[in-house]
Amino acid sequence: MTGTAEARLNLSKATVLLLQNNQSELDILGQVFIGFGVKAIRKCLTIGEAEDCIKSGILFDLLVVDCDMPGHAGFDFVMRVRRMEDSENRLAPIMLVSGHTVPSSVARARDCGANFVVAKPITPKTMFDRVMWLAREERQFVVTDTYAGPDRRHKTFGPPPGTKGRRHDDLSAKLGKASGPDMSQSDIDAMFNPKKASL
Amino acid sequence: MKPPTFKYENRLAKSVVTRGGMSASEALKAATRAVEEIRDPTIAAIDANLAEIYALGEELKAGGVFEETALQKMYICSNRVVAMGGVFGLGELGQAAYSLCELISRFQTLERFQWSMIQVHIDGLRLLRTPGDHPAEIREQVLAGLRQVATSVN
Repeated sequence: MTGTAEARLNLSKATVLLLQNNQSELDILGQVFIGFGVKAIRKCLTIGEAEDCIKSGILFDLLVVDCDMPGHAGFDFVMRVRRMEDSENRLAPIMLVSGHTVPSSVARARDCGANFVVAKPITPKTMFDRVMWLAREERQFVVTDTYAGPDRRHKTFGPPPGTKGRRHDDLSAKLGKASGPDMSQSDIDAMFNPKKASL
Repeated sequence: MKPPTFKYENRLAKSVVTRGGMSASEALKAATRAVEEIRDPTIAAIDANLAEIYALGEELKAGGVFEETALQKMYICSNRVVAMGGVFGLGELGQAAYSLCELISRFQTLERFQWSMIQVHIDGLRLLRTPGDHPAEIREQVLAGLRQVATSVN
């Protein structure tokens, strides 16, 4: 026994929108989420249906969008959702699911504003892992003229050495000289082994 | 001016709990059971898409030229097999379908077409639809061959 409680998912109160380009794939995805205990599932076969759901006032906890919609309309849909300033759904986690991806779509998938792209086939194991990952997502949201969505940088290493960052919170990766005395060993120990204060 | 970057509430975060809800193994078991309920109609949908691929293959063979509409239809059907095959133990069929998608995508880029390359993929799909009838070694060789064919188109 490790003493650490295993993380569990309680999706019974979550509301999920599923957009798939054909009924069979939509049914598979729907069954996976039913199995995960989701009670409020909106299943959509067209972009129009999905947009109506988004604009209906329902707050979604997760959107799962097919990359393989005709004309790659799924990417445009995600971009429009991210730009809906009057809807809280623009901040919802969005997962793209993709079958075969033509080279021209790879950059669109990255730049449309989704949190994650998952390769088909969608099995329960794949979906559970990705939902858990999305639930722990802590990236900031970025809105610029050319992009709206979660920060595409999964890790921040700072701007390249010798260049000034473009963002107000960018820190240089280069370490400067110490500005004060080194910490003593007891100070360091105290940080790793905190004790209750006796009052 | 509004900053371009801001923190926001991840609505899904509240679903991660330490008590109640489902563990990974419980969720997987329940989801697998739920998916199993639609096995028959999904297998039927896979077969319908395969039948359409085979029919389009005949059309392309008869025409003998690059035919964008038929190829695009074949790509869509094949991509559906990619999506559904692996869910019900037909993962290798899905991989063969993925290779056919890759081949068609390359044909579309180059606007050229070679029937024999489609034919070999159709033969592969037929064989991998019944994986139990063929030894694993043969199936692996078929898949390796299909990938080689698809990636040879440049």
